[in-house]
Amino acid sequence: MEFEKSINGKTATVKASGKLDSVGAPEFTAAMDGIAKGMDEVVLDFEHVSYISSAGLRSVLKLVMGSGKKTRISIVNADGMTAEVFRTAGFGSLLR
Amino acid sequence: MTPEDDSSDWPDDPATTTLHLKGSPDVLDIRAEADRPQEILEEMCAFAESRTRDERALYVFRLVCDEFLVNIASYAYEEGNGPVYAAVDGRDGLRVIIRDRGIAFNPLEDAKVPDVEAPLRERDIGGCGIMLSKEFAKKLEYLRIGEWNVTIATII
Repeated sequence: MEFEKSINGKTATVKASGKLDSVGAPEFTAAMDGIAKGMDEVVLDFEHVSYISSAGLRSVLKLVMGSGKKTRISIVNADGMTAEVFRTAGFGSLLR
Repeated sequence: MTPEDDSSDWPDDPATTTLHLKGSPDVLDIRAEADRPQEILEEMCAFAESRTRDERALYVFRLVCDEFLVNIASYAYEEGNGPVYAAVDGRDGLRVIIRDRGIAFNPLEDAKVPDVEAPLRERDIGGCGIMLSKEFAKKLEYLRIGEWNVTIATII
């Protein structure tokens, strides 16, 4: 996977691309290390994430659990099926 | 990955005969060791892409194959590795038939059911892959034939 990170004030944005599967998940976890620290929000732009499996969901959950309660994690631009996977798995509250 | 002569190292399992998986150009049957799920998955997906351009079906196909192959690689064999036979049947729609000789596991009954209503910070992610497969596949069936787990997923 590839990740492009930017920080604007207390919002970190990460544009991810590739497949968030059992190969991509550890890469995602490594790339997200420490990203939420001191941030009000972490925005994950999934426009170019073409696929997510349960391994990918687990890595997103790890980010949510590892960030402070005051940090909001959001997912934007997830496409049809990827958004459906998030919703079906009970991750719909992250989508906006 | 599919040996030219599969008669000795890769004996047929009962589903091969029952489901007539041999000898059709519309069936891909990969016989491999379970510890290479990604290679098996990519070969299956390439075959499926030659059968349909339905993007939603191909997404679901990848998801179902991915979840089952990774599960088998991780949990089926206590001694680390064993065979997985993965067929894609494109004769009437798109169907996946995955067989392994690992511990008996019926995904329809034995898998954890995740509480998708629970707040995310309290979530246990276990069982999510099988739940998604059940949810998105048109039909999911399981058979235990002799020493084999046979999981059949109808995608379209």
